Amino acid sequence: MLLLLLLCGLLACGGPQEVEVCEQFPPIYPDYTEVTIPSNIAPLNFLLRNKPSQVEVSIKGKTTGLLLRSDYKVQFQGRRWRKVLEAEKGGTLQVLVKAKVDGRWIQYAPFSWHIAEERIDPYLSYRLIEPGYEVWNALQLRERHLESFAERVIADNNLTDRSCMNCHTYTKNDPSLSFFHLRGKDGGTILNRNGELRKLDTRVAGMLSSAVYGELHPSGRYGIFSSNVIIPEFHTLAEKRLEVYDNASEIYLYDFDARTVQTVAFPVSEGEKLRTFPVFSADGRSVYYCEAPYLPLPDSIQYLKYDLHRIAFDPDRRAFGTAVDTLYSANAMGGSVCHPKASPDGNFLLYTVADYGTFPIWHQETDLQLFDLRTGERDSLDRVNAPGSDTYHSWSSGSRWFVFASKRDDGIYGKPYFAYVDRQGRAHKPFVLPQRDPAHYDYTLKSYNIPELSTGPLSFDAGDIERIYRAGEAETFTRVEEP
Amino acid sequence: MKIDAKDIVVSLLIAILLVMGSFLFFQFAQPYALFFKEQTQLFLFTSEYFLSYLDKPGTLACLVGDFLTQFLYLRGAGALVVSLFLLLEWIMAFAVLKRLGCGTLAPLWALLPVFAEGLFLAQLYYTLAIPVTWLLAMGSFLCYSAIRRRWLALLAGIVSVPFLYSLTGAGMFLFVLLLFLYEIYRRRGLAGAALLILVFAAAYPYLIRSLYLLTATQAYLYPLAQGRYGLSAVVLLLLAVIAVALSSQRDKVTARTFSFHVLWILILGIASFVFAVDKERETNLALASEAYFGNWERVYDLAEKEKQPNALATYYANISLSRRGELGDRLMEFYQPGGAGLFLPVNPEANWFTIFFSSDVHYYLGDMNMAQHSAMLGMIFSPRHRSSRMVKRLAEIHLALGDSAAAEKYLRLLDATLYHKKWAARMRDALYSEQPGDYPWLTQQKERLTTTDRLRRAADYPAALEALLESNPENLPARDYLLSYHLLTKNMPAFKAAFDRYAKTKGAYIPRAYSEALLIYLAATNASEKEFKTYTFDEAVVKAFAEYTALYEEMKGRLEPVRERFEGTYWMYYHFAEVN
Repeated sequence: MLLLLLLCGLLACGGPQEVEVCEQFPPIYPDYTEVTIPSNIAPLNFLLRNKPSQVEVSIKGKTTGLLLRSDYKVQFQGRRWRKVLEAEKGGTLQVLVKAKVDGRWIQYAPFSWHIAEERIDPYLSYRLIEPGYEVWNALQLRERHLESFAERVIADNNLTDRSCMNCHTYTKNDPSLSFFHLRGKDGGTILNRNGELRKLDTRVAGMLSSAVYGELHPSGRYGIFSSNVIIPEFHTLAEKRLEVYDNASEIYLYDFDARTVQTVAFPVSEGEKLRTFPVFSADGRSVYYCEAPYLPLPDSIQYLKYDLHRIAFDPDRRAFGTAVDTLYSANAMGGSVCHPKASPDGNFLLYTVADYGTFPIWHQETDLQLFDLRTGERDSLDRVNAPGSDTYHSWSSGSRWFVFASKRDDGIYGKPYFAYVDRQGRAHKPFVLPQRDPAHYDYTLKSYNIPELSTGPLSFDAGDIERIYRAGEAETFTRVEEP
Repeated sequence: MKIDAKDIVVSLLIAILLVMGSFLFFQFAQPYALFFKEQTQLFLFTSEYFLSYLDKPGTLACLVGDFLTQFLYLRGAGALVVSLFLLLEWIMAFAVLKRLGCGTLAPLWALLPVFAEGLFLAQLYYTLAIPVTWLLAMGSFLCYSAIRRRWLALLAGIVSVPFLYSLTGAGMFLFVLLLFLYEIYRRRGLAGAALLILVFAAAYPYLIRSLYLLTATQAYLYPLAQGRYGLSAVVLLLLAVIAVALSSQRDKVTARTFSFHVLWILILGIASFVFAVDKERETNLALASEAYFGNWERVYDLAEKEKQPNALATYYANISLSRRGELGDRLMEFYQPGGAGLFLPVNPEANWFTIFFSSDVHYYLGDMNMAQHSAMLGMIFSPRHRSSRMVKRLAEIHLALGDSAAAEKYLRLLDATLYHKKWAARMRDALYSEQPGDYPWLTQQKERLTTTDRLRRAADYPAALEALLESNPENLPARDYLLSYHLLTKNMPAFKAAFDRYAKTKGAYIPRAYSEALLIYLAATNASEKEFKTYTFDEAVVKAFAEYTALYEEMKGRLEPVRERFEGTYWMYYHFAEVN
């Protein structure tokens, strides 16, 4: 009798019986179907939206596999996951999901996980903030280890008098070269060079504002930033939500060693211009930036469209070129470019295009575009973009992965998505940052802002930021002219 | 130990009176303060949410306090939960005082920390984590003092500091100070060790604060949002000091002394309840909560009855008037603080309490962008940065917009709650219904949405209202709010233009406030008789205006004589109200 009971028990645990076959992919969240992933990513835990009582997931590669039975949340064990991904690097995993829904077992169409050979930078920093603009209360900068679920806080505005913090930006994915703007009365731009933190007052008399958008030079000596008068306004049409535009903007070059700042002297052009989003090229010998003719705002907001330009930069002389290349003409192409980012290998430029304006995160039509700097070809990244804003991107150091913030799920909360660019320059379907609890994104009230990849962990933490915040006056800059 | 029957009767009497008094007080004098506590939290039954309590000290106190707060959603449950807390606090304080040598007076003295707690229970930043903190601390002390072996007591005392800090936060200090008193005055022999534990406890929060990402002040107070919320613990400690000091006289209390103590403690108790009442706050919360529950007739009655002279009360009074189509007629019967009684300001100078409610009017009018902005800010700036009320509002907004993905975001959050999941299910039915006629409230909200686009600043209410009216001229609430806004900001040309554009209909009745304002404008601009006749004024109003003008000129701008006859008219407001 006992043996019979044991046998029955074993049979009951032995897996699905009388399975119905469904030709659709399982209703999993996040959507991890048919994605390309790096071999060093944390387990792609997911849940089934139809909340089955039991789930069986079998993953098969060329040489290894995984079998997991769970409830509607599928959470893989880290060590086994890593083993499979490492073994199947460059190959494909077939994922077969069977689920017991209302007492019946359903077998869904299998889907694939392509394991890229190139690894992704293992650290990601981002700002967690409620979706809004210029309104904050509790916000943090965090660093996530992508190979696990470990996450730590690198700055917390609870320790800095609730001041606003802008997002953290690396140069060439280097954890020892980064910055972020810490606002508030004791704030400043926090510059991290080789683990040494400096607090900089980037506003000099006559400037529109402190430094806003920008990047550090690969040498670490310079920073190029825009100074903007930013106006937030609301659309009366609810679908469009918020509009943020610049009433004025200009670009400055900072020398962190000499503590000087100079206005970038652009070649003379017709009419007043708005210039913003300056970044360095991979070799540091050019600057990409966006430019639009000044228009009466907000009435002409729909005609405010930014071109994408490039100007040469000589770091030895601190001098800019006399000619400007136009890489994207708003007049010809119809869109408005924001946030250009050069790939570390210098081959690509990734930027976002909205219908108009300069604040793509609330423009649902915003999409990423990839510009091949070698051939001049433009890729509209159809496999990457989705309805909802796709923007705030950054590259992995190997130039084969990039991360971006997407609002594709609900149009409100941004989440970090990773996309692979293969050897032919084709981008693959992206996947969202995996979480230990796959329901995490359902229950968080924070947006992931400006995700940035880095090759290692940062050397500072929230306590260091609190100390430098309270450490007294920020370093000031002297204004100089271009040599 | 011999237990005196008289003591038991006295204790039982105190317990019954305490529970009854507290229940009646919170049920009838301060019920809305408790409802509001539930509205400013969102307790989720998810593993991540539970684990998030580990991010700060006082994990257990906050978890239990927040868990119980969700029951405050139910009518009557708030008073019951709070009364039981106070009863438990009294029992524990009683036991602690007894342990420290307090005699017959212990049940009476134990009421004092309870009264101190009662002073703050209804306050906006006070959370139920606080009484849980004290209960855990007192319970830990009672366990500690039961340890007979000294070395074990010493070990327990040291270990308790980090352990209790992580579980109770500031409650750890109450425990350590009670331990110190006990070791110094009662047990004797571990005094040196007690001092060491005290020093360790004083340093520990500062040393550990970076782990919890707290400032030094927060590290010592958490989960108390304000230092004064620790009054109950301070009172208990003072009583404990007195108890140990007088412990040698414990059996010398006469009936007369006892009666005297009963009397002054009773007076203190009544005084604490009286001080705890904040009628203005409670009325405001009553208006806001009844609005949240959808009881607009109750809001109307309350507004009429209380007529509170503050912006929040006026705000709800105005919405309730508008819902009945009476805004134009009765606008001036209520205190009107300029435009702030129509739209609660949402700006860096505004406090979170008013921002929290500011989305109600935008949602009602159909201005979903501002409703969303206000609701998001209301949630961000509320003490816990999450709110069941605001999440419901955000779900409603996206339901009206037909944005199922965004609505689902908020409905899923509500699915994970105890008391809001049924509401979420009902909203989901409405969201996916193929029979929109089954949900007339949703149809009405959709009809009010703006279909034209323009940019406007957050505080540019006329621009938003005009966009609503351009999209749907039948949006009468938007029309009344536009006209009322111009009236209350005394922008007469804008009022006249808006009236002519959106409200002027030949032969139609003109609500009282609008008539009065039009008469001012027409008189001030020397309008022709022809133009005058294009408006259908009530003759009595025209006559009253002539009388008012004569009196105003005769009195040379003196308020009182004019107020006697013309209080509640727009003319009075126009001439005498100061608008910022």
